[in-house]
Amino acid sequence: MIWRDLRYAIRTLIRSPGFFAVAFVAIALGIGVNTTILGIVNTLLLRPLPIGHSDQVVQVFTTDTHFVGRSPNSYLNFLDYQKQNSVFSAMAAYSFAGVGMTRGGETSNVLGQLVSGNYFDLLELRPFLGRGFLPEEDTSPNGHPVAVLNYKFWKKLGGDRNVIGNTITLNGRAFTVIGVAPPGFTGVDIGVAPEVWLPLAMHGWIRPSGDEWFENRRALFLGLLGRLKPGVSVSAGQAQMQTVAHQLEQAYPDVNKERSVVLVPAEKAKSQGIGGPGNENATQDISLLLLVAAGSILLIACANVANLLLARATTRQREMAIRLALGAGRSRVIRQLLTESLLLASIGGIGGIVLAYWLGDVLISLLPATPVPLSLDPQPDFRVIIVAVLLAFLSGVIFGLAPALQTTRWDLTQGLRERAIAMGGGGIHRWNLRNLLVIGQIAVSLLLLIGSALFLKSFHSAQQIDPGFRTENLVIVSIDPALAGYDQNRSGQVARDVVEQVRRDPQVRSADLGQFVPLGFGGEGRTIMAEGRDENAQSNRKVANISAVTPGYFETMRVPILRGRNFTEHDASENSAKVAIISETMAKTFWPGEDAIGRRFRYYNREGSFEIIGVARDVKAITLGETPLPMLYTPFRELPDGGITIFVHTAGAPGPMLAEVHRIVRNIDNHISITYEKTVAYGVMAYSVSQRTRELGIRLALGAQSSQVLQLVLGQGMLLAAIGLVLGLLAAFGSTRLASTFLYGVNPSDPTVFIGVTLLLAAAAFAACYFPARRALKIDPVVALRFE
Amino acid sequence: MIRLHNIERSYPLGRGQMFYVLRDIDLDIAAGDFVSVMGPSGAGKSTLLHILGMHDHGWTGEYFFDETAVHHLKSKERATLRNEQVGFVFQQYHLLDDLTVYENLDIPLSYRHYSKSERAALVADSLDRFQIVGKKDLYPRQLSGGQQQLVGVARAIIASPKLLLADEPTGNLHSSQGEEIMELFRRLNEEGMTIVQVTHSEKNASYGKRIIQLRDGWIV
Repeated sequence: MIWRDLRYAIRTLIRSPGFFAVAFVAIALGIGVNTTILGIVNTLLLRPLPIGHSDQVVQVFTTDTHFVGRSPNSYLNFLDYQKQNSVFSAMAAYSFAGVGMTRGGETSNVLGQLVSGNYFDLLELRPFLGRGFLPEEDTSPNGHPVAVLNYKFWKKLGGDRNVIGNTITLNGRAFTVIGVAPPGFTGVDIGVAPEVWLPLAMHGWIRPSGDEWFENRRALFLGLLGRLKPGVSVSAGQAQMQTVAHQLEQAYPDVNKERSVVLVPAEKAKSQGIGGPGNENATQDISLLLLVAAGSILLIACANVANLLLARATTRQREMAIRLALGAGRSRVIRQLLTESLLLASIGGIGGIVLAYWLGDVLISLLPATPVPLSLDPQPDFRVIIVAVLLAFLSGVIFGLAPALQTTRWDLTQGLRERAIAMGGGGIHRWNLRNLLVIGQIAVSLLLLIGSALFLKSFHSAQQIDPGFRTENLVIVSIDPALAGYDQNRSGQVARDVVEQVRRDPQVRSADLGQFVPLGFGGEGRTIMAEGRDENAQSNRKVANISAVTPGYFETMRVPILRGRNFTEHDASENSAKVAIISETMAKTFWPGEDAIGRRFRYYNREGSFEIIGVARDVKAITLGETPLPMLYTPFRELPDGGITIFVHTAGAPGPMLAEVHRIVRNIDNHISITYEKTVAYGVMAYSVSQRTRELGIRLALGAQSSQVLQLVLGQGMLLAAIGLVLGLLAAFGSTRLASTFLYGVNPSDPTVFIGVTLLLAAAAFAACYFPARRALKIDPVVALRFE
Repeated sequence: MIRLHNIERSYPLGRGQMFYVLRDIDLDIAAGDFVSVMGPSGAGKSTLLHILGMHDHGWTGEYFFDETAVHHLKSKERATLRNEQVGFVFQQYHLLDDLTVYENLDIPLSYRHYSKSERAALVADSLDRFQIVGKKDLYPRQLSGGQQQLVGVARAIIASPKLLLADEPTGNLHSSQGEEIMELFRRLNEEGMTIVQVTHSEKNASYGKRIIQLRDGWIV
């Protein structure tokens, strides 16, 4: 019997291609957007890590009262944690490292991960090919040049099953491939997928300038994993680890002062890196926000299709009346109509799922460039597909059931006589289904519009925020010659050579080197001690970002020196006194109400003091919304760990210059790889975004009502709009708080946005009611009734 | 077979006033009867037919169908009784446009408790009986008016109802096609089917065994 309903449903849809096309697009978009967002949320939060007994694995983070959020760990503390804890059956460490891989004469960047010898064992991973590391391969410094490849990376290299025992060239050195990780395993941090794993003891070859990090108990750079012993809870584990941390703080008060640890289940910690320190819940918040937005879109799609079905049902009243007259029960007719809507939902759902495969990649491609490419696989897996199918089914029931119930409530004798029957069985004063749909659509539209407007206003506010440095005609290119096997001295010389050649280009106004990329992805922070002050006083010990720069940097970046002087070439020479330029905020933080020029400071726990020779204006370091962070500049002498960045101020558009810098770097040595690049020409995107949002808002507001507004008189239409607006406002007040983390300079309950968007939608609702109503009033009532 | 006593049907006019479509109807219809209901427009003919067919529920009075007190039945019970006992033929044919002739005949059976093979046999019999086998895969729009009404009659009786109700069955047909349908009704009646038809045509009314005249809701 179902088959007959289905056959008839197919025939009905084929006979109404216009209706089918519109409904299909609405459902496909609704399901497509939801499947895409579910795919992303699944990737970020829900999909379990492909490791053994992941519930027993925790990540260990350092907490420091001076730092926001959770921090990595120092190597020396890791060794002590390993020895002193009794809650873990094993502890492993890892650290990301950019690596230059040479193949066929070309060097390219690959993302490496230095891991302790027990890493694969702790995670209970069975390599796809070969084996993981042995503990002894992580004992002698640079003693065992072995590598395990990421499965996808191995595929990219050709997928040779005989790869075990082959050598690959990393940073100019030969490493033997001993294994290929299992498919799907990309480490324990979502979004960052190492392409090759190397023993931590090989760090001298991988990070030539990072040796001191392993000797400095204060340097926080190491991710730590622990597998809890059976029966040990996370809280019990944390209590014991905090005791260990406290003992280490007492044993090494100069470096571990005010530091402790926190344990976070690996499943929970896997996506916290995306939000950054202090923003560990960002992924959850944005996931929830995206789900609310996607759900709203699906609701609007359902309401629109329900409206289409209701409008179409008017033309099918005779058919339904005949079916009822021939003996069909109400449930039988509802089943027939539901079969049609479920068929529609199924076809739309399939379209949506196909769309999601494409939409996910599009969304990921819209993400801004990062130094380490984000590795997200948003493609829906079977779990997402199942949820999408259920969503489509649910949508079919939602948009099909109400019109079906409404349709079968008709007066049979009236239906057979083909008299006028107002949908919903009543006049305009009744709270019929269409009225409720209008209210719902307006409410959800308002919610979405307020959300969009807040982000738009935030974007606009961000445009108004002065980042403190040049925001036009700027080319930023980062290189790390160390990845091509250069030592620190030669690396520095290479960087200088590149800058010299860039400066010769007539299109270049100036070009300089700097270590820290403002509004980039963070950099190196150091704890600074003001000299001559009480070292134990917290106010004298603050963290500052450091950046080694060439003298012209401040001019190239248009960061004015407010007091004191700029660096000279002499300041950069080997034997000259150590000098520094600090930011206004650093000056105010350490020497409030005093002149910082001539003052001295040193790095916490380090010898050698710096004299402050200048104070520069603040720049935004990580985000536009941040309160300025202390910043410290030193003369560029040698290449710091992590490479150096060339900042080029161009006379014209920066785009062509990027290619030129590429060419110059390649000419010097084509093994040197570019780790990050960006041209800065802000202020272009805002206009197009605002145009599209406005268009979207009007379309939503008008489209939401176009099918049903004809039969509503103005007053009633506006009453519905008012109810919808109030509900939408309530929903918006509730949900925009989730977005607060992502808004710059905008209150999530910003009154101008709330009032403005509400008025805009109210005006759109008024127009949508008024004009059709006026047109309807011009028609002869008898004619109108005949058509009803 | 049918006994109506003091049947009244009215609609509210507002301010407590009522408009009566049928007044104090007393009517007995025996099994095998063929009754023609006549009267001017607005006399209540179709309303009476829909009350007989148990489509209309807003009446008062007593209605016995084979000793079953319809006026005491709940809506669902009336629907069951109607499905089992009554067939309808409409002036507008009311075939479902998107179904073939075969499927239109199958529809009433699909709403009743027939197995797939029973339905196929009954539809095949019906196609044979009305000599429309060759048209079974055609859609209603591909048929003439007379052919459509033929299918309408076939559909009305396919589930073997005791009572056949027809509302102006020939109103949309040419006279020759109308005669064919009326001849068909006569044959069905001779085979034992009880028929009540509403008609404006004296000629069509004469096919019946008796005529009931309605005027302003009263039987005259």
